[in-house]
Amino acid sequence: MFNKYSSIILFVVVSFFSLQSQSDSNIWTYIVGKVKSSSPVNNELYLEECGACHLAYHPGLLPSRSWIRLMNPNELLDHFDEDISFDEAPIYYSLINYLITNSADQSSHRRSRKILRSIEESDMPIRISDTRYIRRKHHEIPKDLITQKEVGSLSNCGACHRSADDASFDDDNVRVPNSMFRLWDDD
Amino acid sequence: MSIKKRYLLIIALFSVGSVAGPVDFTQLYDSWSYDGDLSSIATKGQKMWSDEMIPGRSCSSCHGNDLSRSGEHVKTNKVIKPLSPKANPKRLTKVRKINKWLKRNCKWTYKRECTTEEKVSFIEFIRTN
Repeated sequence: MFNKYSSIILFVVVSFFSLQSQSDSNIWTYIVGKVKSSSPVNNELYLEECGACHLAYHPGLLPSRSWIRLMNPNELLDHFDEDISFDEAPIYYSLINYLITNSADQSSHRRSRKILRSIEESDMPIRISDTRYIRRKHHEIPKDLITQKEVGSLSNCGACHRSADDASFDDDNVRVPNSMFRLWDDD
Repeated sequence: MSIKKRYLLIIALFSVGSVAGPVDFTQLYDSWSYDGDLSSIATKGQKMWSDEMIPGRSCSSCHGNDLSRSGEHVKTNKVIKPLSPKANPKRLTKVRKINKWLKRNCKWTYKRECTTEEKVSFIEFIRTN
């Protein structure tokens, strides 16, 4: 029958696969990278609290240290020129928990990992559009198409990425307003 | 589960439902310790709606002047659903949300929290439009 070693190996293999089947990310997609850009936002609280004023940016677009900085009470007093301090501690901590557990460092999605790699370890940007990866991906787009009324800035993902709400940022879903007959090099 | 318990549960569920009913505005204004007149306060709220105490900032910057229509966040361009309860029945149905947004938006628009009278004026204007 089984000797001691083969039962240990069997135990490890079985627990590995059973844990994998429970887990959101799995080791194979971690190795090859997931097809989707990052996880879609499915957190009602986050959608309501943060998505009321802007796109509910997918936590996988920034590392956890960035989210921790962004959610610092002092930072919230001046959140891009707005005081959005949270009065209710349970809501505040739930949001932080959601952001951290789904941040780029925890993600196996392709773009999350690329964003993460493009940030210096000593940096903790609070603008997704400040990360080297996002800047490089938008580098070739003519300035006036970004600053135009329909878009405004790189932070308005949904203006061009029509599937931004589903965390899909593939080129196929991009429609830049008023860009007919304008050509630029895609990165 | 016994039949008795089941009935009790149903009654309990109904009583929970009735607690989360529509907002009692008299009670809300009492909670802000407002004891003024309500007769012409909605008109006052309407006047203040587009007043810019800080240049470029008023309620209408993001919500527009027609409350039955959608507005747009002045900075992010995000669509804001109509404020009028007639156009958007979800509006003014939760005390928690009313207090949260009054506080946050007054701080942006006036760089301070609103006075009780200002708050009542705005809510009465929204309620009746």
